[in-house]
Amino acid sequence: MREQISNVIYGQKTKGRSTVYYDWFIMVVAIASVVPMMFRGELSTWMQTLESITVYILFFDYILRWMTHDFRMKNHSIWAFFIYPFTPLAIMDIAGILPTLGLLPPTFMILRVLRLVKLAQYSQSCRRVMNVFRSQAKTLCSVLIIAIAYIFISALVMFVHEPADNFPTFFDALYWATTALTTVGYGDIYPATQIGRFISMVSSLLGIAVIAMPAGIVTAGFMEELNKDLAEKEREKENKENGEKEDASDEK
Amino acid sequence: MKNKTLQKYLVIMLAGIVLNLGLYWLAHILHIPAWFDTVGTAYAAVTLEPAAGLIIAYLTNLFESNAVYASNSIVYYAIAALCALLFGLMLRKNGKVSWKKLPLAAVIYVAAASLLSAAITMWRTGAPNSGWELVFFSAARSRGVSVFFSAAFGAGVLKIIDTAVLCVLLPILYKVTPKRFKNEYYKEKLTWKSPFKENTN
Repeated sequence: MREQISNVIYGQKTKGRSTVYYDWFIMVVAIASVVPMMFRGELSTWMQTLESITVYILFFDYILRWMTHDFRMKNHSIWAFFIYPFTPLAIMDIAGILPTLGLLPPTFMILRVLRLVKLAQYSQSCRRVMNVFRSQAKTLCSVLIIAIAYIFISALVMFVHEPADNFPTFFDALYWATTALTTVGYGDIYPATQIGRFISMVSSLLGIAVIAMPAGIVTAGFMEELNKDLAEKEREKENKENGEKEDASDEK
Repeated sequence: MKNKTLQKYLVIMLAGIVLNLGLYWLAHILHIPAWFDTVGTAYAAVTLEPAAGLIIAYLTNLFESNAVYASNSIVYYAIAALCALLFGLMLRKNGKVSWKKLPLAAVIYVAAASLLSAAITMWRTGAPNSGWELVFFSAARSRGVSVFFSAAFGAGVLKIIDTAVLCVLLPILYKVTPKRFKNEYYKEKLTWKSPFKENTN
């Protein structure tokens, strides 16, 4: 029974129709479960019912995943069941469920958003993006370090040079540098001196380059993942065709 | 799953749910200090496999938390799951059902379920607030026992009666179940090896 359940949830042997239906079902449930969050004040009975039903389904999915975690790990060790509640996805799953059941203080209601993490577990596109982040982790980390260093340096220059009225604290300078680097520029904090404005101009120009880098890396990685998937599909198709040809020649 | 197997699982799991809810209702109308809502869970876990018991436990708790208690009482599922795992795993020796370990499983279940129930009650409401559990909880509190151990005592008394009835009913139910509805041989392929070594066997 556990093997059957794991085949439906994870599609380990073959990703059959039941796995695809289950994936879609859970994704729809996860999206539906956050709909009540889009309304303020007292929820209508319909919305409360929707939230309860979806949470019960997600909780059941959590239990099924726990029950079959040894199949997921491809190792029938009893320890797999002890490990499961501490895996990042399981923590996010349960953290998204508990606030609705009233088992966490109201402050934690925001955690309900974590139910959308289910999409990352079940959606193929989300899985591709996750794979890209995993494979390009080193490069993305390097870019992040450059961006943080850049923000820090420009904030420091601005904080030292500009009058205290414009940049009262170092955090204000960091806030300004981040909005300038990301080209958001709210305009609530800005340099007043000529040198400060010049630094701001240079910072904005360089900022575009720094911000564009990760976007390029992720896009290239995503294309690579797509090509990999296409190549695999074609290989599977060829193998299937070859198998059919061999069967036909055997029959002859 | 083959049709026959599917039929077997559906029949026993349905019987398990009916047993759980039926006995729970009986205990309720007769004002017996017990829940009796894990008999069907243990029955399915022993007759089929622990996973069947786990699913029945969830469905029973889902019904109870919606129809009788509050929605957050679904977390008591942990106790029913413990019942399915303990009886389902301990009562099988080399894949076959053996009743020798029934007393041991019962003792472990009563102790673990009482503590777990107290922990969940403390988390949910701070202390038991209704039924027989409250009566025994108050009795323990009046003797100066701490809130946690009073809650464990309150749940424990009910669990002892629950488990005693379960230990009587379980072998009878198993015996009267036709052979075609039982997994006479069932063995989980679980080991205590490190989970990080890949092994697809």
